[in-house]
Amino acid sequence: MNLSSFVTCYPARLPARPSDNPDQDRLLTQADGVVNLVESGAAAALAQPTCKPGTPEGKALWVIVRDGVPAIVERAPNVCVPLQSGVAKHSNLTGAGLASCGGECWVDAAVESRLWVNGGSGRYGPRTPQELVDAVAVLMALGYDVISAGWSIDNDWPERTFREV
Amino acid sequence: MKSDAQLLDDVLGPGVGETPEERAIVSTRRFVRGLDMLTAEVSEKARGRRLTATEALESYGFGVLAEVAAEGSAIISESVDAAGRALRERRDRLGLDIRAVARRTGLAPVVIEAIEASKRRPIREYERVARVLGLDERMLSFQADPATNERLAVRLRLLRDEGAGLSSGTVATLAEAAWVTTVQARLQRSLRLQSGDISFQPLAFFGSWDMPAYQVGYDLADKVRDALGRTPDQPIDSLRDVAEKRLGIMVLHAELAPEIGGATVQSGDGSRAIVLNIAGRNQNVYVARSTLAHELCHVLFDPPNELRELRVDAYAALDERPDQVTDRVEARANAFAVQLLAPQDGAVRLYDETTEDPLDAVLDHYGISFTAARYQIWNGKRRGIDINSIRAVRGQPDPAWEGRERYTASWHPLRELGDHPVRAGRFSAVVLRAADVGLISYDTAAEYLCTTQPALELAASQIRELYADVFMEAVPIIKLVTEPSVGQVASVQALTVKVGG
Repeated sequence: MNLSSFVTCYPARLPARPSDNPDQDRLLTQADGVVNLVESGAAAALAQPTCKPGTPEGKALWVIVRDGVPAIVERAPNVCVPLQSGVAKHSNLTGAGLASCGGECWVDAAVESRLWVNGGSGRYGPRTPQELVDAVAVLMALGYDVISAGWSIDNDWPERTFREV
Repeated sequence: MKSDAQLLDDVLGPGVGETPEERAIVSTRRFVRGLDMLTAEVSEKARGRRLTATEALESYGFGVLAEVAAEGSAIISESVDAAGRALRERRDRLGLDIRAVARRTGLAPVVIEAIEASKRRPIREYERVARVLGLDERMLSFQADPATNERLAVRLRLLRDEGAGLSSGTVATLAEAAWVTTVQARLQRSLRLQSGDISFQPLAFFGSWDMPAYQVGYDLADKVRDALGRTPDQPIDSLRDVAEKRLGIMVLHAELAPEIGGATVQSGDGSRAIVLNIAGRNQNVYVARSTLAHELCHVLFDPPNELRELRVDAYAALDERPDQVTDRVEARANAFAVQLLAPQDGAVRLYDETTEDPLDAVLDHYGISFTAARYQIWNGKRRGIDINSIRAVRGQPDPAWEGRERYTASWHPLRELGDHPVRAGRFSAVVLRAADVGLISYDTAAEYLCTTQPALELAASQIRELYADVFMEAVPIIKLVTEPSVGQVASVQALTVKVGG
């Protein structure tokens, strides 16, 4: 599945949860460190020296919108104006606007084309296992080697940590 | 910035109470626990553990619940390998092999191996293994070392490898008994159920040159009978009832190796329980009562250094003549047991006054084992008669004793507990009561009782009847009187809840 078929299949929606403060709705841009994973080599900017998939170490956020897959390192070290919450939220990638899906990712510094991906977003997270599978397919279609955390049968919710099955 | 009240509303829903604990007990919110995540209960498809707000709050804290409210989920695993490592280490400490754990849990050995490698498996499988190993399943993966009694594990291992040569099955049963003890004690505290109205101080005196240990045991037994208001002629109708209701000591039934009479076990929080073997000679209710009385002495009067985390008594030691036992701790307990059940004055009087089958009369009146009764009469008569002349004619105990003592260990409305007698006693009622008042979910209650929610629902009224006292005692709990409608604060009042009462 590619980006355009994904956004057709999963129409963009507003955040499922309200923000805790107005600053979480501020739209961050390239100047703040947002990259678009559609662009070749963009993931390298998300790579962190201490990357531990499934933990806060090296975590980045992603969303799928109509024209791309914006992403930012959660701790947002390059943000122009400091964030009130101290970390970026998915709503900062959309300005609390529309997105089709969202989650968390980690970029392996040793293999920058490898993305560790989950659907961990309270605002735009996938609502079904298939939606997560399709979102992963979008990233793979963009050329990434994707490792997905999968879907939790226990929680009926996207898994956020990575375990061997 | 949100106010505290707003935050409480967001996390636990509208209701009364200014603290998370007060708000949680009236909250209708439910959470789902997976191995790694806690989520709000939004999907019927979720197969994880359902938790009430109180249960989730008590286990994982308000911060985690707040994260669930804000983000939809919260990671609760301390590390990816914490759960499997804790289970493997515990199994090693208990000296059990994978096949033994597989047998006890009903899971395949390959599943146990996957779980110990912290692979992705359903949380219910992880929990099942934790309970069998005596670990706090709520803390599995959340804490690197789930709250537990490590010294108990070490002692079980020692008893297995050296002293008593306990079998794998017995080790696992006693570990599970420790888990039952911990859970029951925790729920009783939360429910504020009265745990006995009589208490005694331990006594580190086991006799001296002028006062033999058995005499100390007799004196202690007289003290207990006085506190219970029993004259020497009166039997103790249900020693289990006395232990649980008057002395606040848990009594569990379990199938242990046939040579074991009973044990005392201590949970991680210091609570103690008596574990009575339902196999072997305790199948005779008179023997079982004598065993229970013996273990009662240990729990009531032995100082902690004697009791330790676990004490296992073989039938052989329970059966010795109090005046001939060399271990003074055991001599005191043996004498205590016989005097508690059948005080010498009363027993001898009854024996003398009965013309036909006098020892049978003593057995049936006091509900005491043949061996104990015979020595009691013989000693009471200053050993002036031939001990072999003190004989019982009838072989079988009066069946009335069976119901009073075994109670739900013999029959329980939840048939599944037939395979788990250690959970079939008062524990089953305390668990149901905790679910009734929202301390735990019915999902948790069903899991604790090895059954399904529909089966528990069917059996609930019978359990409430069988343990009426557990459901009659008042528990002060703030409870919603009416369900809140959207945007409206519920009408509430503080009241005393009596479920089934």
